[in-house]
Amino acid sequence: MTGLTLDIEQARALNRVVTDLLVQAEASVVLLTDIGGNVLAQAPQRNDPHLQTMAALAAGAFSATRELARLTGETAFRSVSHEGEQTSLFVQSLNEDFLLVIVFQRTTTLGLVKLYGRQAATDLAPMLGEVRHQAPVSSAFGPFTLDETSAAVFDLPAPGSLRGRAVRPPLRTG
Amino acid sequence: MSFVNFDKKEINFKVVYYGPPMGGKTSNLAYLHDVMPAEVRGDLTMLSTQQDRTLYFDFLPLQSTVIKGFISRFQLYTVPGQPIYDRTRRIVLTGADGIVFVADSQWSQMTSNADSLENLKANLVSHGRSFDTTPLVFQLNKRDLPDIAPAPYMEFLLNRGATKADCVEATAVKGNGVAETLNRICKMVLAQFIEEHNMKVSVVRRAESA
Ligand SMILES: Nc1nc2c(ncn2[C@@H]2O[C@H](COP(=O)(O)OP(=O)(O)OP(=O)(O)O)[C@@H](O)[C@H]2O)c(=O)[nH]1
Ligand SMILES: [Mg+2]
Repeated sequence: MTGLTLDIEQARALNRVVTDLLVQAEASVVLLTDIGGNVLAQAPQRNDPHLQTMAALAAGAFSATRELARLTGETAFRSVSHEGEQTSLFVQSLNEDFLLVIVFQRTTTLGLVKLYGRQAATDLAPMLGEVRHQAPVSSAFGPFTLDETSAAVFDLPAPGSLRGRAVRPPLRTG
Repeated sequence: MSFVNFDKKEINFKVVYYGPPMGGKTSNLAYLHDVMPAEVRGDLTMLSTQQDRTLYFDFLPLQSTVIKGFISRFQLYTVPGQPIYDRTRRIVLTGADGIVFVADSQWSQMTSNADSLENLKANLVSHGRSFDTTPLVFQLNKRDLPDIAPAPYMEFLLNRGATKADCVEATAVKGNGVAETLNRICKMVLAQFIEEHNMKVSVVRRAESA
């Protein structure tokens, strides 16, 4: 099964749209994800592991509402919003397979978020269509090679032996 | 479904732990979360009932540098084993690059194992996927319990596909076999990904040099 591939140009173009949306809607986080919870673009640009979890949960929640739509005879709910005391979440579907996840505070409004969300959706639609239908494989990206120095993908201590103690990191990260 | 971002030099893979109710899927993720160094793993998120049964899914992201020049993220999910949650299982299975089938070794659970495997095949088909070409590892779990079936018997019962899958004996609550299961499925997923991608690259190269 072939997966999704973003080349550098595409990744940056998506990030620009998402960043504009963050600024215009005065949101605190904007994620562009696929329905499986992969993050294609995000704003702000920071390395926050929680964003991956947020994407997985938002995608899961949206899939669940899609099932609810099916059960209620509706063809599709286009968006869902969760309103909290301080922080709210707005999720909008794009092209069936992608989601815009927008986190915002009380300093902005759902109306504004929806307005700019819709505009971003229009901008993103053709870009995502291209991503979905013609996964780029350029020879510039050479073949992938495995790091042969590690015998296992994840190098873990034998059960019970080193539990609770600091263990050698399995693979050099970053 | 793998996802490659050449800008951030990241590749995501999805591995789904499937299997009968109470087989030990969540226990696998809980153990991995316990022993993995913090810089390699993210948070473990569990969407479960008050009785600790998985209601929607569990999620644990891991990362590795196994592919040169890239961060490879393995996103581990479990499905709920209880038969009534079939719709949820189907959703969580979407786009899986690899599957770990956690079987319960107790004699009393053999029908339950076989039913769950049939359910997996049906759900793969519903996604237009083939059971025989999806990377799969069988984990024979709960080997610490008294009334268990011999491993060869379970293999005979479950591992009947056109291509034989790896089988790993495990006691997930104690961590035995958990890392081995993970490494085997990750390697299979990587092998399939690299083969597919590199084949495409060589086709493009040939076209470019022609
Ligand atoms: N003795 C023993 N018990 C185990 C083992 N693995 C899991 N269990 C127990 O089996 C029960 C179910 O484990 P879970 O990990 O929640 O099973 P699950 O497959 O996630 O269950 P569902 O989410 O309902 O499908 C728990 O009480 C675990 O402690 C094992 O290797 N040996
Ligand atoms: Mg569970």
